[in-house]
Amino acid sequence: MATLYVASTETFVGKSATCVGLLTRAQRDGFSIGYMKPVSVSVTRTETSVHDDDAAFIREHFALPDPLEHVAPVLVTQGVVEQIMRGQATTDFVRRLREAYLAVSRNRDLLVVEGANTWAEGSVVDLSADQVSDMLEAPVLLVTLYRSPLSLDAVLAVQRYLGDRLLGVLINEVEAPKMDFVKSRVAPFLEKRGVPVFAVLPQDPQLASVTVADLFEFLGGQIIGRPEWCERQVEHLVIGAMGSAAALSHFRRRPNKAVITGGDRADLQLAALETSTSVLVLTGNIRPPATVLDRAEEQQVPVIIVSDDTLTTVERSERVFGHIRFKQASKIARFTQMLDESFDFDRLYDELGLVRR
Amino acid sequence: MKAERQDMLEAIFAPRSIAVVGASPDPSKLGHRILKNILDAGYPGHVFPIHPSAPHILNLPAYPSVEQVPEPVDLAVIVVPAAVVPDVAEACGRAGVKGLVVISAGFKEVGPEGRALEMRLLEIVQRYGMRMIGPNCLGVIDTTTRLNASFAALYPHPGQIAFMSQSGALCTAILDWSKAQGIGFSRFVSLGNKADVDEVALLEAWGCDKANNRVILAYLEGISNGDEFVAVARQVTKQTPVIAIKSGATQAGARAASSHTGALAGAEHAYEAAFDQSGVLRARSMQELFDFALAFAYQPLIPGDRLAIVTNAGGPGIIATDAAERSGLKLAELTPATTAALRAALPPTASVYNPIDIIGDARADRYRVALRAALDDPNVDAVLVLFTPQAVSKPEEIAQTVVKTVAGSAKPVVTSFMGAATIGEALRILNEHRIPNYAFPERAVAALGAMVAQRRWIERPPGEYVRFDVDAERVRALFARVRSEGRVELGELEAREVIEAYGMRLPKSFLAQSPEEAAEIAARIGFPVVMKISSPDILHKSDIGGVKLGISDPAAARDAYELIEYRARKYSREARIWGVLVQEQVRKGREVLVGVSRDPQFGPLIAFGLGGIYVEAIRDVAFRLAPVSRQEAAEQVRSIRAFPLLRGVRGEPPADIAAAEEIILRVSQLVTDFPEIVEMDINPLVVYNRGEGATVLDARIILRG
Repeated sequence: MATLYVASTETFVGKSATCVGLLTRAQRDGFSIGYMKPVSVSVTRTETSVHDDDAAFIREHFALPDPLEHVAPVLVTQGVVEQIMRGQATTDFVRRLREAYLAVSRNRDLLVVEGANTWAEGSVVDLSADQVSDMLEAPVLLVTLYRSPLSLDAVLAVQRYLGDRLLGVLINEVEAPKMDFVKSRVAPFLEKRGVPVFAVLPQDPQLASVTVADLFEFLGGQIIGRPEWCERQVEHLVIGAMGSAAALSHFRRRPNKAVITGGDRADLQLAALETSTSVLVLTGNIRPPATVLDRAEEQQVPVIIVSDDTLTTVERSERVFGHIRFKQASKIARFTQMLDESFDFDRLYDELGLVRR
Repeated sequence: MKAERQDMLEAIFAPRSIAVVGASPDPSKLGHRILKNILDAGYPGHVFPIHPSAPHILNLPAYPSVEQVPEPVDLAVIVVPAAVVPDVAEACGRAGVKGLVVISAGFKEVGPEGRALEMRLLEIVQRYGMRMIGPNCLGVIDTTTRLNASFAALYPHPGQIAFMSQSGALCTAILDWSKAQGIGFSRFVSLGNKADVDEVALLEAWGCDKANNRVILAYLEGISNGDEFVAVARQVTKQTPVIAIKSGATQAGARAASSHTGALAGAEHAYEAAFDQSGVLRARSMQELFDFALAFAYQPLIPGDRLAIVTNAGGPGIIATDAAERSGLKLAELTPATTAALRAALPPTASVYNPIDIIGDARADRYRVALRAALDDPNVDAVLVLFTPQAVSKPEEIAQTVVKTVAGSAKPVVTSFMGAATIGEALRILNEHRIPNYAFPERAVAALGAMVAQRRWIERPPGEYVRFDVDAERVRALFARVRSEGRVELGELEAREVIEAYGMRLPKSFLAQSPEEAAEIAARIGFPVVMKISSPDILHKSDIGGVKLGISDPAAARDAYELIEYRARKYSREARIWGVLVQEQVRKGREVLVGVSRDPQFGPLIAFGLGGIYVEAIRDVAFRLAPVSRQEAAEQVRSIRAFPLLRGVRGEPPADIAAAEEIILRVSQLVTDFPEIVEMDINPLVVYNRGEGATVLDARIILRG
């Protein structure tokens, strides 16, 4: 049995997607797989339960037999943190994790452990990334972005912490113009410093997108248009607040976008519909003229009407974009395909001592 | 097919029989009004009211449906609730009706359900090979066939002006006004939603009937099919003057028009270019529309641009002279024979040079002499007669004299009898004898100016379109790659590739992604170099200090890289920064820009203007629609205000204007070959001295998403 700890030093770098992608491939390569997320800091509360949504999704996606309490055993809720601060903590999280790990890893070739978002996360329950990976004696795959040369600092710091336990890195979401540079300069540099680079993945607009339905779920309001149009992908947010003359040029710069503009700006709405637009978000609770709705229907573009003003709506929409949602079949397929093309699985299996049957 | 469909408009304007579906015995209903209008206008053919139950309406036998009418019906005027219009149209189709005028509202203008209904209606119309005006329109008037299939309150005087309007309300206002002015029309159409017959179809049909339509007027809020409009207008305007007034020209106007029509108002510049390149005269106001129309409808087309002015007062003569200069007319230089004749006939205080001032006490005889002499002068192409009321003058007599003297002249004569209280009868006489009169001289001159523009258009040789030998395949492959990556904007280097494939020159340039790389590239290119930020999110590079010139050694290149990157980051933390472009520093020349924006109605619109950082402040830009002919490119370059700078000022050598024109033509070919290019900017284009060519310094290309 091999355990792989997938870590990152910042949020939203594609860690969950990496876990799903690796597991998908490993399963295809004939290995029996398991998954766990030792520490959950962002928990979802419903009427009946408190759980880790992403972990629950992955468990279901792979139809894992383990109960959710084992897949995501430690939920760091606000209540837990307060108890610890008051010195009233009763739960032995370390022990709970150890037991869950033993259960989940039983009879599995590969267990992928989705680590903390940052190096510090989980410290309050004594389960930070280095503590957990140390405890599980698990080699670490670091998922990282390359934004500037400063990104290298984080990788090298992790290497200093982990030493040989750092298996290597996956550099994710590299902008197209930087690709050559990252491959020809950054990757060789890291390799020379003893950090294997398993893959350099390009930024992909499809992966970064949300659906119109996601946006609507978050924004609320009223939606006009057929349900199937709500599956359209939104890759960019564009604000419509310019003169009509400049609108077309502005809107043409971004494909598959949500255009956020006042309900009374029929000129901008029509200009947006002239370009690649996935959804019109109209603010101020103003219904657009029939002529605009007509054109929107013709273009099969749904229209969301919200009562907030434009600025507030933009701020709220940006939050939807902050984190990539990987929980869609098409995105999982896309990301897995990207891993297939670029990730050095042979090297990974080799390092983990896994042998394909 | 086209010709056949065109003939079908006959059924609308010259039907042999008409059915009014929705005719009503109730005088308060539109269906009653329309039937009454048809009868009142004296339509000579058979008229059949269609009503579910009434046996007679306005003394005509009524039928429950078109299919039950015992004779063939050419035209059906439909004024029933929108929801049943498709069924009525279907019945018309079955009954062999050829033309429909659909008055009913409740279609596209009310939203998606209305649009679905309109699509259904159009499908029926096309299936039966009918033609349709409307829906949602005032109707159709044709005075040549005495047809008034409209609910307008008035029937116009017969005349030779054909008028189409996208606004029905404007139609009724104009009818009312024109009736009082004594202005007549040949055809008068409210276009409505233009589901089938649009401005292009009418233009084509009316252009074929030059005898009845001496001039075609159009009030347009938007043009549905720009390409077709330009192609048809180009033909028609060579025969018949077309004058358009296009609303929504200003930003606020465009906003109003958008919510009104549901069509994105095309860029004002695109309309301007489309009208310009297709010979359509543009009126800036309703007043101008009719000022111009009267001149064309009443007078022969001006043979040249030389104007003679006959006036009984100095001031108005000077005002007219100023106006002539502004309207593209020249003041005629009278021949010695003319001046001699005038001197002999006029009092010594008169001015026998142009403007011919026949002095305040002039009566009809002096007007006759002066007007005759001006018309006979071979140096004169048109005459403007000015009259100001004076104690001794008799306006009616003078009007009569003008009418008699002008009769049979091949040169246009227009008048400006100024005043109102004492000249009513004189104006009536002039109008009756088709002498266009204008309340003030500038308007008279502007109308003649429109005639000069028409004359120049007619005499203009056909455009010459050139094609260069280019590498279109390379561009096609590149675009396919960009698209497959889900991008719409080309990177700097990709844009370069396109520019090069289309035979335009660029300085050597490479993208550096680190200070060291910048220094290496700079050394390879050779110092000095220019360095520029490369980011799709930073449009105005120099504004943020993202451009450094004159970098002369590797250390400076490294420093420049860091500085430029720092400034870009400071400008926007979110901006995507691709690196810093290191470019061969080219020598100085004159900077211009060539840009393209694809207009939703008219296609690629090419801009040419003064380049560099002042472009947005000065807005000295001229526009043409692609494809651009050789002649149009030459005109475009010459029409910017800054053109003298290209020609060279204060001893400067002239710039390579031919090279600038060639760039316009190559860009025109590029955007015509690749309709997926929606935006493109070459700014700056550095134009060197004559014979030395031009170099593209920066280019940006955006593809359709």
